[in-house]
Amino acid sequence: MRRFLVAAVFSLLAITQFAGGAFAAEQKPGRDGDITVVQALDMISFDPIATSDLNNQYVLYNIYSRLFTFPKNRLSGDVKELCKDFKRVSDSEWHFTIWENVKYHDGTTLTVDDVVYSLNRAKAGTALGALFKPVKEIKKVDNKTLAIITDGPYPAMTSALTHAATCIVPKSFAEKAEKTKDWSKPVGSGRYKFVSRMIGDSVKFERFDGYFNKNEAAQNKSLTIKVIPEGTNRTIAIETGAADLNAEFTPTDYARVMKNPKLKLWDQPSALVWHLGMDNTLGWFKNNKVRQAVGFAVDHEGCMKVGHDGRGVVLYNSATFAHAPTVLGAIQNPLNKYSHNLQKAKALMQEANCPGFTTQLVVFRDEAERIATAVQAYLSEINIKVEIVRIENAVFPAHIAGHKAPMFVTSWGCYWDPDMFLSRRFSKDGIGGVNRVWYQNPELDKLIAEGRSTFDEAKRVGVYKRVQEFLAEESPEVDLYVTKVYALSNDKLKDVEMTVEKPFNYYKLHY
Amino acid sequence: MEATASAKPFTTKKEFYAQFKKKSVTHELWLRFLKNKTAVIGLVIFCIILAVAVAAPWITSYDDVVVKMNIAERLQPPGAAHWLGTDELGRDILARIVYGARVSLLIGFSAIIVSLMVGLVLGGTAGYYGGKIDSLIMRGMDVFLCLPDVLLALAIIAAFGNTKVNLTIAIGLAFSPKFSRVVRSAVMGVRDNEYIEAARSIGALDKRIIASHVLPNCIGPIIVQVTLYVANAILTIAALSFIGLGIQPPTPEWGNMLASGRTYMRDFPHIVLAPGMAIFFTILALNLLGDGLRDTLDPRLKH
Repeated sequence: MRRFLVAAVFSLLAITQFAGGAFAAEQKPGRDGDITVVQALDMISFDPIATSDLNNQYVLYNIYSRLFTFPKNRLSGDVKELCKDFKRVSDSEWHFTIWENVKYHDGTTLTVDDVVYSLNRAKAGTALGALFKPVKEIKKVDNKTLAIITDGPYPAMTSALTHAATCIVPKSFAEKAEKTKDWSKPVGSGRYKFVSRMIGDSVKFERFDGYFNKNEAAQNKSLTIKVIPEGTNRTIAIETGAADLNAEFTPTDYARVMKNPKLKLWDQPSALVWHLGMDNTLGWFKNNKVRQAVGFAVDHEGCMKVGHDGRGVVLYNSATFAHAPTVLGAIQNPLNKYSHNLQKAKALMQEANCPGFTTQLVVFRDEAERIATAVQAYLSEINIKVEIVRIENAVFPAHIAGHKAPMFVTSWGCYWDPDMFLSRRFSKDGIGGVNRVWYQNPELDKLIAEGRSTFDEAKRVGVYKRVQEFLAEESPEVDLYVTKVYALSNDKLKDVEMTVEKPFNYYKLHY
Repeated sequence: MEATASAKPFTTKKEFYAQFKKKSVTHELWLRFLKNKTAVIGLVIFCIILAVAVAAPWITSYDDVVVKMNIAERLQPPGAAHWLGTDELGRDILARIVYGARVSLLIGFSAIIVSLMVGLVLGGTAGYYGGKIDSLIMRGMDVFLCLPDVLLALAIIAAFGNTKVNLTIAIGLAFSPKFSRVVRSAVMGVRDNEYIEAARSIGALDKRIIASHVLPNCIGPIIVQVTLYVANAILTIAALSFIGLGIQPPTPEWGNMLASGRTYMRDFPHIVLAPGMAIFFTILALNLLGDGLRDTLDPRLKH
């Protein structure tokens, strides 16, 4: 009996040790690894123009190629991918030459016609429509070259061509997919071929050996992107070896992870702006005094502590500008207007003759739900009663489109060039896309147009300062803070690269 | 007759006459219940939880302690200032547990009252009349019994929204097929008794017979089921709140406390331990109480 007990205790200890510390399976070194990346939300569609959702974009980058991809921190210029060379023929005309003999996963060849078709499709869609507004025409010049003609200077042109909506799809495939509304088996010219997708669970890819740039081909045999909504479970997946990279590490596990020598935490200053959006066309939110009152009532620091364990930089912006230098001309608190000031918030509510009201706050992520709970408490002080509604990320655009999100908490992955997001987020062109606050103002439209009218950076910084000051008064949304971007891996995984939004270039991951 | 060796001799006249005095049924049942130690433990725990829930406004302040955020005090371990620590928003966990008891018990009992009403009407009718009416009602109930309780409640909440009233009705309706079955079988057990025949023979209407003679004689098994299903209803509320479809924050409810605390579970286990234990003890108390009542009310276990 005693022997049995001793054996049982030792077996239990062995199991605990194995489950708690050791990795489930040893990965093969070199280029034959099977890499699993975990993220919080599921992708939405393989149609590049269907959505601007960040999680969706980082899945699409693996299957499709674009003319340009972005650099690590988006500060050092855009990186050519399908584009072999380009030149600005005039202030309003650009020529792009593409690589020859680029193959799709089905063996067919990528043509300039496909590129022109894909870009025109992106221009017509809501995800990128506003970004391509200055674009008058996209046309084929010859079998290797296409021309993009704009209505004036467009400094953000190459940045716009890094957007996931500009992913190149075979014309014949896309036309068929559009007709049948079936994008479930995508064909692209990217580093990975699509294998399978289980909705809500995972997407599987395998290396495409026919990728046109052999020097930049995938360094692993297969890639699985798995959805684990709960932050701690994503950490556990790395601890136990169930996944190789947690692309969205939640800082609530920071202290624990730092103590574990078998784990490696990757971080990078980000341009991910967590903000409190308001539908500017609904009820009291039509009144900018009430919107300003919300900005004063909410403690941004408190929201950052609750949402991301205090790891980030507080913002008092209303234009989704992350802090400098990640965004050109960004100001953390334009006009030094905002702070957590309950008296001021109450005075503004009184000025607006607003006695208080009941509204809904829509969220679709854990961090957002925590922030929402804090916002709910802060707004109750100025008699705004908030009901928190949690939805799926896939239905968020429908909630926005149907004016069913009077308030929402979410993040926005900012770009270095403000022209990449200003018109999309705060003008008529972005409605139906990412103008989730339904804000539009001709005065702001003029400023946005002025910002893109020159290639002179100093002049543009001046215009964007005025934009931020204008929006601070208008307060279409309340920007709360910019968090750091974190990713977690085991200590053996190599070549993890981060952008200002999240880890990317999964094709480089290897052991 | 000779007195047996174990018989206790009478020392006073009062004791002598007491043996001829008829004890009330309730008193007899109470004495039988008290003999069941685990049931008494269940009753005591439940009474404590109930007392805490009722006295909540006198124990702590809802606006200043239960829902008011205090970021500086967030994630405090249990200590003198906060006996069960604080949560991720710096709110006192004990205060939230106390108010959470009000929500859980109120909705739990209200939901069971709803299902009892439905069950009494449908089960009583099916059991009393039998035949085609019975088949029609019970096959309908069988269809609903195929669906898990949570799923049925979820469908109702998804369709009508997650207010407290809707939540109560949803859980009540989800549990009503089970009650219908219990009531039906109890009614079938008494419907052919002589006193029912007697009532019929003097021309009493069916609804009067069901209400005045049938149901009062079925009350035993129904009470037992009520206590057991209140426990299930509380678990269902917690489950719905855990997945975000039950009680909405900042209102404290044990399920939504578990949900918001699960992110911090590994480093601050007290956040989930407290609501977890609250659910555990409430369910344990109700189950012990239910089992005890069943033993007490079952005539076969009288001796």
